[in-house]
Amino acid sequence: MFLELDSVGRTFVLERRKHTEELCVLEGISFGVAEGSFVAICGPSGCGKSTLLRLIHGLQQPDAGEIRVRGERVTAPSLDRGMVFQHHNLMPWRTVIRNVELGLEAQKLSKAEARSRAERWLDKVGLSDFASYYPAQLSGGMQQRVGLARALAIDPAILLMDEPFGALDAQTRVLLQEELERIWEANAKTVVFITHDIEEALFLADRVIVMSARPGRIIADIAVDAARPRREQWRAAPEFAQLKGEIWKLLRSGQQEALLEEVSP
Amino acid sequence: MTAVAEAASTQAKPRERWTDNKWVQRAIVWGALLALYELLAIILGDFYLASLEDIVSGFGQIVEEGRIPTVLTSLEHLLVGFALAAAVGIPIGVAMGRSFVVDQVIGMYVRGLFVTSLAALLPLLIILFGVGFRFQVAVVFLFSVFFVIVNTAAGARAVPRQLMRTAEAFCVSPTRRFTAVVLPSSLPYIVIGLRLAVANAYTGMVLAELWVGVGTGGILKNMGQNRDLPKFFAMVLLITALAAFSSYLIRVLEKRLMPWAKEVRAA
Ligand SMILES: Nc1ncnc2c1ncn2[C@@H]1O[C@H](COP(=O)(O)OP(=O)(O)OP(=O)(O)O)[C@@H](O)[C@H]1O
Ligand SMILES: [Mg+2]
Repeated sequence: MFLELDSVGRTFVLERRKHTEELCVLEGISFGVAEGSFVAICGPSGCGKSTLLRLIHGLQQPDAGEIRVRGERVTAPSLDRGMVFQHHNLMPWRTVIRNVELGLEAQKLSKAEARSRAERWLDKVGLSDFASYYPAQLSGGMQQRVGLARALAIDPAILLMDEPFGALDAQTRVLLQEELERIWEANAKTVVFITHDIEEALFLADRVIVMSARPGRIIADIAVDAARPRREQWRAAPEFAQLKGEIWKLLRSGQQEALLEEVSP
Repeated sequence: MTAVAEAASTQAKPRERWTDNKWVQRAIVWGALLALYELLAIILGDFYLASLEDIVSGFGQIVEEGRIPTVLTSLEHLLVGFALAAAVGIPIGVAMGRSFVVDQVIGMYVRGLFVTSLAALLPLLIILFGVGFRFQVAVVFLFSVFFVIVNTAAGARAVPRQLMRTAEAFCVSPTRRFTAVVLPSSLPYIVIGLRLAVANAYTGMVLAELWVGVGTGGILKNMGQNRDLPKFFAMVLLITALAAFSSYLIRVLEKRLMPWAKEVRAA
């Protein structure tokens, strides 16, 4: 497998004034992702999706199990994996183009090369006219697109996206989803995409992994075998609605289970 | 530029009335204050307050008596002391803000000296440095450095963790993270520290000179003792104006260094 998670777990220790509290966020997460496939992870808020993505990226370490990319254990961030954050996390003091260049600075590229690469990706997310703007002068959707261009510019083998379109209005979201599908088709990257929007997951992914409420566990792994390019027809297909209902039920039962466990430990 | 970008840059401004102009407003306020002062000066008489005309002629006398080079020498001490304070204070502040250990080790002394009356240390400084150039610079330095340190530390502490983590995620090396994230993020705080520091540097400069009776402070001391009020007021005004101008210069620098803040505000 290209990307492998092997019974990954993560517990946070919270320092209170007199005692410490343990919060188990992820438990026994195992799955594999084939090269070039698009996996969406769905789960209720607070179930540890962002944490899981940070573990895959190498920003944080799991305290149980192991994560491997091409058979090699992940221990630190690498430019092999590009992250699009839940909040755009752009540097306010950098112009749009300089933000896109952030990851290119660690690569051994000449200035001109980095600039032209950043320009190319900015163009692909439709923002070449805004290269010299500061992030605060852009709309929320534009900021997210800069974040996407920044991750794509380093040309990572794996693209990790954390609810990148979560804060956007419905129309902009759909537009960006289509844009993302197009970019992904053209570049054949492996994508792990976090979302709590079932439709978004079904529209984009080859596979939808459903997680339970905290502690996050995998409760289902559903294949989405629709032909590509999908565009709008797929959203209107009966299979789409059926899968949507199935995942919706899973999410609800997962959440109820967690609630029951909390009541009677 | 596209139509979108153009529309953003050519926003229609609401029409301004002449009373909205800040210089008109300032002229009105200053004019009123000056008139009030002149009235007070007439009532109290020139034993207590110098009238405006006297102050203006007092200024002429200062220039004629060749006092300006003395003021320039004082400014030189100020500049050296302040530059040292910035050069020492910013790195210490950043280190304090970013490192728990450094904060524990030197933070105590910094905060202690920050609240100490530095004027009380002047006799000690004279013992250490004499009464010349080094003493003047040392006082200016001590009067300004703590404002730089304390504010810079606050700024370095307030760097958003998210942005540090983002830099890490894109493999920006720890040393590069300092220049790429910590410094620009702390810059607004550093500038506030520098502005407070420059105001205090003037206080330190005059105080040090008053103590040993040289330079600009020495001139002020003489004028006060001789009850040379017009010249005395002119001198005080000159120093105030210089201090205000220095603070203004730092604000200009701020706009230069932080174009993102300016452009966002204007948008
Ligand atoms: N650094 C941390 N220290 C302590 N607890 C943490 C930390 N990071 C995350 N958590 C906890 O882990 C849990 C999962 O957080 P995470 O951000 O992964 O959720 P999420 O699934 O991404 O939720 P959302 O959909 O709302 O973004 C939360 O309960 C949170 O309080
Ligand atoms: Mg999250």
